[in-house]
Amino acid sequence: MAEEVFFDAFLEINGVDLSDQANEVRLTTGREMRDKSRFGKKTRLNKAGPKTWGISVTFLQNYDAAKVDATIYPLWDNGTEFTVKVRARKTDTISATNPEYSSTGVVENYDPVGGTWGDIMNAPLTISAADDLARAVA
Amino acid sequence: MAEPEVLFDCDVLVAGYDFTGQHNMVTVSVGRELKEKSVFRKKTRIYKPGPKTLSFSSRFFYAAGDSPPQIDDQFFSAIDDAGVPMSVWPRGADEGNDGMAWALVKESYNFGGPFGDILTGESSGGTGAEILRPTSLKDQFAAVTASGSGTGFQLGALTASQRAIAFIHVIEALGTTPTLDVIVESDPLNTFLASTTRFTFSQFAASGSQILAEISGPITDTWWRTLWTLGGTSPSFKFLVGLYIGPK
Repeated sequence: MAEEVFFDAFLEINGVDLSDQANEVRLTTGREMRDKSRFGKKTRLNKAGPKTWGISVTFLQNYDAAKVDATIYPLWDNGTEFTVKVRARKTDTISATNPEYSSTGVVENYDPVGGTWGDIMNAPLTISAADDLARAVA
Repeated sequence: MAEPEVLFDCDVLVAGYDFTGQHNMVTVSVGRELKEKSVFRKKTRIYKPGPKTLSFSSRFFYAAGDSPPQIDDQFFSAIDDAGVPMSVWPRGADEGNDGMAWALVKESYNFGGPFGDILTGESSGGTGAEILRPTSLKDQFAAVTASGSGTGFQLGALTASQRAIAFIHVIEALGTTPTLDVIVESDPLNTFLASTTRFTFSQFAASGSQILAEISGPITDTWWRTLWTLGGTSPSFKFLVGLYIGPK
C-alpha cells in the first residue's frame, strides 16, 4: 500500500468523537524486555515480557459543552476507566487496511490550561492502559 | 465547529496579588499516579488511577520592588508558605467563568536572560491541598465602594458525595481603616429571599487571601452568590471569589 498522509484520524474517548478537536494522536505499543542473555552468546538477548500501550493526543483546547475539556477533565477528576478507540481513517470503515484499536484507558496526564499569550491553546493528553488492547479489522 | 481557544485573556492571581499583567505564559497540568493492577490471564500491564497530581509553570516579565510589592518580591520571599490560593482563569476571571485553583506550593523561581533581551522570570510548583475547578462568583476588575451582593449563579445542588470549597483573593484595599466582610450564600431561587450562608471569610483590612474549609452535601439549594459588607471611611476593595462544587 502507498504511504499515507495523516488527515482523517478517528479518536473516540468515553463515547465522544473528539476527532475534529485534535491535531495529533499517537498510539504506542510495546513490550517490556526481559534479559535472557547467557554465556556462549555475545549479544544481549531479550524475551518479550508484558505488553504496554499508551495513547498521546494533542487537542486544540475547547471549553464548550461536549468538547475537549468537558469530556476529559471529569475522566481525570473522577478517575474513570473509559473506552478509547483510535484508527487511521475515520471516513473509511474498519477493515484489514483500516484497523481500529480499542481498550479501556485511564487519564495519566492532561493539561487543561496551557500556552503562551496569543497562541492557540493546546491541551496534551496521555492515556494509559487499564486493559488489554484490542485490534479490530471488521 | 467551535474555534479553538486563543490564549489572550488568561488571568493569574496568587494570594492577594493579580499577576495577570506580568505573565505571558502559564501551564497547568493535572495527572494521576497510576497504580498497577496487572493480573494473570492478562498480557498487558494495566493500571488503576491513584492520587491526583497538579503541577504548574509560568513565565512573566521581571519586576522588583516593595511599594507596591512587585512579582519578584512575592515569588522570592512572601509566597513561601503552602496554603495561599493560586488561580488561573484561561478565559478571564469574569463572573461565571471557570478556572483552576489550588493551594500554592512553590517549587522554583528563577529569573534571567541573555544580553539585550527583556528580563523574564519563571516559577513552578504544585499544590498543598485539593485541586479545584471553580466558578468566578465575583471578579476583581472593578472596585466596590459600598456593601452589596453579586450576581446569582445556578451552579447546582450539592449531593452527599460532593463538597464545596470557596476562596478569595483581595487584591486592593483603599480608604481609611477600610474593612471587608464577604460571605457566600445559597438559595433555592435566584431571588435569595430564603438564603443560607455557606461560607464566611475572615474580615480583610488589607490585601490578602483565604481558602475556606470544605463543606459537604447534601445541600438542595442550586443558586449561589457573594455578599459583601464594607466598613471604614471611603472604603474601596477589589476582590475575586471563587466557588468549587465537585466530587469528594
